[in-house]
Amino acid sequence: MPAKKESKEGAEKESFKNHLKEIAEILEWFDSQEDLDVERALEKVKKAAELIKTSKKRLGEIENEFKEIKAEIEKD
Amino acid sequence: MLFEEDKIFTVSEFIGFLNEIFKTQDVRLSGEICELKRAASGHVYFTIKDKDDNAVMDCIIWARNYELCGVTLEVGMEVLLAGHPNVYAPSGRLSFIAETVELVGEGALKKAYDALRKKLEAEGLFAPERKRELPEYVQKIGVITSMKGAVIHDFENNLGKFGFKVNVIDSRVEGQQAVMPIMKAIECMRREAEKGMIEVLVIIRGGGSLESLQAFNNEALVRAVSDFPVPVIAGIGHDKDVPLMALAADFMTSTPTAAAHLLGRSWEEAYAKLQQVPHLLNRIDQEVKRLRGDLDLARGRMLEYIKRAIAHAKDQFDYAERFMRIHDPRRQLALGYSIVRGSNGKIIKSADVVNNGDVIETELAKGKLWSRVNGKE
Repeated sequence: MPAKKESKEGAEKESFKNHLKEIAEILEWFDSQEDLDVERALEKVKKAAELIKTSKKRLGEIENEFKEIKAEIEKD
Repeated sequence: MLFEEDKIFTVSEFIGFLNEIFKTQDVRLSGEICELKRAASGHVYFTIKDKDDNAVMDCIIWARNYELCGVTLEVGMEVLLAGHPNVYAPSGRLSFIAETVELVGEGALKKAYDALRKKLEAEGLFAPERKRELPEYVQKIGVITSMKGAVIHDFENNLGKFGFKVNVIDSRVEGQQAVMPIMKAIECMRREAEKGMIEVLVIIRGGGSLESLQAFNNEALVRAVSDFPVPVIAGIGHDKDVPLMALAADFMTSTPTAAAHLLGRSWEEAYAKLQQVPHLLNRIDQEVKRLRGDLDLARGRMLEYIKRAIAHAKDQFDYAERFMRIHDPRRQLALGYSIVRGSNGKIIKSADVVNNGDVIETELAKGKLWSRVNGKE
């Protein structure tokens, strides 16, 4: 169903964008801490690791799609 | 005509015999009208006489011929008649049967020309808005002209080789006697036009005096041209008085050659356009190349942009990974550092918050230890 597919792609794009935003927020959090809260730091590290992993996977997919499109365009 | 020498005629036979001879005569007769009467039938009965003596001749012109001549006869007019004599059997009187009548002298002709021109102008017969365009790429042409003389050759030689189909009707074109043949030719061409056999009618003749061009100033012929079902080109040579037929035609040219060029014009233009085709194709080719160049450039830029965006995102993730690795508390533990918590579970950062005898928890890279405080500094 194209509508559903489009909606899924839209959600993926949205989450990729959100992941980048969340990671940036976590980095900012670390920079802003004068007195490090180890538990929260650990949570943040775990969360960031998860986001980075997911986003890198998605980025890999995007890169592959781009390579395919590029090859297709350059074939003409 | 031969007859037996001893033959005895009756009066009727003799008159019939004479009339047969008269009919073969093509006589031109001039004189001044001294009596005139138009019957209810439209036939005109008149008498002409010589200026210098008293000789007279009774004349008749039948209604159709009179109307076709386009001349309004009046007593005192000097006229030139063409026709033949005839004896009217019941009275035995000799009359002249006129087939055409024309005015004599440039002055009279000019006067008649001016009057008719004024009348037809007032009717709007020469109005520009009545003129029709020539159809493009004409192929079927009707021509009325005399096959004698150079006119038809000039026309055909200048027509160009565009596959024209030319239907020529040979007609007398000289003087008043040309009226009837030209009228017949126009009627014939009208039938051809109505059948779609001609797309344009061309009437041509060489130049001449007002007298020799009389037929082209004839009212009936001018009207026939004006009402013709397809456009008419009149190529009639003239000195100063434009023939009225030319004024009524859709196109007026000064020579037969110009009429021929007019017919070839749309073909010539089409040929000229065809000559431009290679140049146009070359321009289109250049434009396509330019657009292709623009597209290649745009494609290159787009690919470069996406490539950079992906690389930038990668850098960001790598940086985040490195950053997290450095800030991961577990890394500190792995290096030998430990985290000490009090009985309330809070991290102990100062000896001041514990007392001797308190139990504290020490988190190591692997496992935890619980100890009792024996002393502090």
